[in-house]
Order: sequence, then C-alpha cells, then structure tokens
Amino acid sequence: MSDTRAIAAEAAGDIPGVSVARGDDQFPLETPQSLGARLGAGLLRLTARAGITVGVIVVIVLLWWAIVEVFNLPSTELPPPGSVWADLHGQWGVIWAQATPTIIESIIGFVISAALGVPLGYVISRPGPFARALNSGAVALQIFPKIAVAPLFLVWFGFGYAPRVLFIVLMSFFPIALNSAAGFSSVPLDLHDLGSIVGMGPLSRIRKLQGPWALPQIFTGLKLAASFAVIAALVSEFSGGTQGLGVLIVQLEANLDISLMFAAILVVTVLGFVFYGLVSLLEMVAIPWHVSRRHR
Amino acid sequence: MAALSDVSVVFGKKGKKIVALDRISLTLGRNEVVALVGPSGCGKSTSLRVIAGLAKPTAGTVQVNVDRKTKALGGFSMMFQTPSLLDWRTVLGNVMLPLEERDVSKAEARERAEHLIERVGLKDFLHRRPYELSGGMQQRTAAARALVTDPEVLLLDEPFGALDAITRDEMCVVLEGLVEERSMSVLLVTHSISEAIMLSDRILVMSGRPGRVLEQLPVPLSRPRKIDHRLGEKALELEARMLTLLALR
Repeated sequence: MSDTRAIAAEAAGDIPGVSVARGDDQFPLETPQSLGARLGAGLLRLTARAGITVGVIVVIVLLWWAIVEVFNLPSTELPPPGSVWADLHGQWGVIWAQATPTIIESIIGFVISAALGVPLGYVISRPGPFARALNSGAVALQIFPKIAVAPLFLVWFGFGYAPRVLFIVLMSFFPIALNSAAGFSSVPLDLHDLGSIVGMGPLSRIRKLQGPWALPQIFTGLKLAASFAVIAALVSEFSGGTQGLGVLIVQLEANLDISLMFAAILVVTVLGFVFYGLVSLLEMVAIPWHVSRRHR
Repeated sequence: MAALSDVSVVFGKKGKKIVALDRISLTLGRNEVVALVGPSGCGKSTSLRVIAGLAKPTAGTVQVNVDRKTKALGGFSMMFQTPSLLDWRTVLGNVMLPLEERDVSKAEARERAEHLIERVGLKDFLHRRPYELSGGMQQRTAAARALVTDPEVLLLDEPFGALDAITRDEMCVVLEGLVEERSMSVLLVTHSISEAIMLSDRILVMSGRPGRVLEQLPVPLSRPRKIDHRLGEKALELEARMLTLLALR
C-alpha cells in the first residue's frame, strides 16, 4: 500500500504536538500535467506500443514469405508479400475509393454506439425492474444472430448507409453498454454516501462521482467496440451492397485476384488498428489518474 | 443538535430480518463531542447513518436541528472509514468538492480549501492526487474536506479504522486540534477506547447485539488534549471502567 512510501517529513512539520518517527526516504512525485503534456505522453506511449506492433508484423510477414517460398504456393492460393505490396501501391486508387465508405460508416456506427451505449449502461446499472428489462433486451439483441438477417436490412432500409450503420451499431453497442454498466454499478458505497452528505443532485453525481469512476470501464467497452465496428462494417458489406471494402473483397475473391484482395484485407486491418489506437489515445488523455498508468 | 429516541433499524425482508439497531436513544448537544464505543456489529455506525440521513429508521424518532440540505455553509459533514477521495481530483479539488454544492464563490472556495489543507499540513501537496499520498495524508485530506464547509455537526464513522497504530495516534492529535479550535458538535463512532478518550467530552458505551447504550461516561480531561493525557490517572480509570463495561476484563 501507499503507507509503505514514507510520509515526507515536511508534511507534518507544521503540525504542533506531532512528533512521530518517520522514514526519510523520498518518493518521486509526478507533477500534475497539462492537457498538452498528457497528449504528448499518450502519443509517446502509443508510439512505443506501435513499435512493438510493427515488430510483430515484420515477423508475421517474414513467416508469410517463408511459407510461400517453402511450399512454392501459386499466387491464387497465397500471394507472396511482395506482390501484395505491389498491388497496394499500384491499385491504391481502387482500394481507397472503396475504403472511404467503409471508414465513414464505421465512424458513424461507432459514434452512435457510444452515444447510445454509455447512457444505456447507466440506466442498466440502476436498480429496479425497468433496468432489468432493458438489460434482458440488450442481451437478447446481442445473442440474436444479426448476420443471418443482415441481407434483410437491405430490403428494409435500402442500399445507402442506413442498413450498414444499423448493423455496426447492433454489433458494437453491447460491449459499451455492458462495460459502462459494470463501471457505473461498481461505485463504492462510501462515494455514494459522500455524494449524499455533500448534497449532490443526480446530475452532479453522474458528472463528479459515477462518470469519472466508470470511465476506465467505459473505455474498455469503447476499445472493444472500435475493433468490432470495422469488422461489422465489412460483414454488412459482404451481405450485399454496392460499395465498401467488403464488396471489393468479395468481388476480388470471385475474380481470383487474390493478391489485390490481400491488399484490401491489409487496409482493413490497418483501419482496425488506427480506430483502436485513436480510442486508446483518447483514453490516455481522459484518465491519466488510472491505476494502470501509475508508477511508470 | 441531534437526538435519537427509541430508534430501531431493521434490514431485510420478512423471515430474514436483521436488527441493526434496537431502540437506541442518544443526544448530541451543541458543541459537544460524543463518542459511541462498542463491539463491532452493535449498531453504532447505523446510529450515525440514521442521524446523517443515510439510513431510515424503522421505528422511533430522529430529531435534527440542522438543515441537512443547506446551501449556505454549516450543516452536516461526515468522515468515512476509508478516505473516500476522488482519484481524478487533486488534493485541492477533493477538498473543494463539498463547496461546489454550496452557494460559495469559486475564489472563496479555493481560499477556504487552501487554508484547511495548510492547517492539516499538506500545503506542499495541493496539486497531488490521492494515490500519491500515504494513508495518513489521505485521511488528513478527508478531514480537510469534511471541515471545509464549517459544519455545525461533524459525523465521524471510525475515521481512523484503516490506519496503522502510529498514524492513528497522530491523526487523533490532528483532529483534536481541529475540533478544539472551532465550534461544532461531533459524533464519533469508534471501537478504539483511546480514541474515544482523546477526542470526546462524553462516551456512550454500547453492548453487543442487540446494541444498547450501557452507560454514559463523562471524560474528565481538560482541553487542548495532549497524547500524554491518555497515560494520566483519570484516563486510565476511565479506560478500566470501559473495559469492564465491554466485558473485556
């Protein structure tokens, strides 16, 4: 516990009548940081992590290349990394044109999921039959095999963004709601009592006690949802539609243009990483006080 | 300032009733420091929570002469078993928290908070976060937060229960000084005999389940109190009496 860090002697120096033996070892204190400094520190940590990720990717690419070489696979089964890279460069225009709608619908879907999921999590965390009913509804929606009805979304909502965004929301709101609910309901009793004694109204309580307390878990949900959103976008495109990387991948597979298909998959993967990374960066800026970020 | 008469508190539903409090009566006078001492589970914390408005009595009457929901300074304050500080706020932010719910300007709130933080010896830690502090320093921050609204009634629910023995003695002296220099009524719930003797004017000794007030003992010690008081003859006599009542000897 923190008690083991000796209390700085100066702290008690000006209290009359107190002379308690103290250890004199100093502990380094972090200085409170400005938003800019926090952003900088977050970026630095993210860069360090990205470095490790790049290392892992290099190993995977080397393995990939080795497998193609050793088993002498034709490029219609597994194209070598070099040819995928060449296609990524050469046909970037084609890929980017299809990536844009995927990116747009992922972002819209994710934002709607967050805007719905966090308040829903709060409501679910409340006592009472209404909260339990909502919880059951959310669970049912999560278990329900949405992939099976994804083609129907097109019938219901047309070929625009609406069916795909809806699919993304249905896939990614649940981890946000569930984690937020866990966060909101884990506020210690003493903090609730503090709120009552201090005279906080319900809004004050959410803003000053429950919200900040739940933030780490809310972000766990957001990070899960960020990675789900891109996959959900792709799946919704697989099940029909006219644009997006999912559509492109299905077409390329049918045309046996496996090399370009891999290039498109690569772009999807990078998109997922970027989404996750952005939410992680936001997390580092928003909760610098979290346990996981101390003593480092 | 506050009184309980024949207050009972029963938790749970039929068949699984837990009697937390069984017809307890007590009074807390103006500017009086009263300690509730008893074995764990005797309902002393529940009594305090009833006065604080955090628990509802099943039977009996609660009388409180202070506006619990006042927007001005004064009113109620409470210290909990744990420091209950907000990790996302600095020491200053934590101490200012109660004033945000009162009609106090930001500048005045800051001035009051800084003054109290200095008073509890944490001047150099204004902008630290709670997890950077030792347990004793955290409870001192909690004490500053409890006093920043100039409460008329201060409720202390085993405030040093989670601290080590040395820090507990130290906090006892700090708190005695703080209580001594302002006029407020204090109700202290504790299972520490020495804490009760050091801090209070009157001690209510409670029995184990079901909790009843066995005896009221005045504390015949002058103020301001020093840690030496605890070793004096009067204090030792009082302690012996309490040990007898608590059937510990």
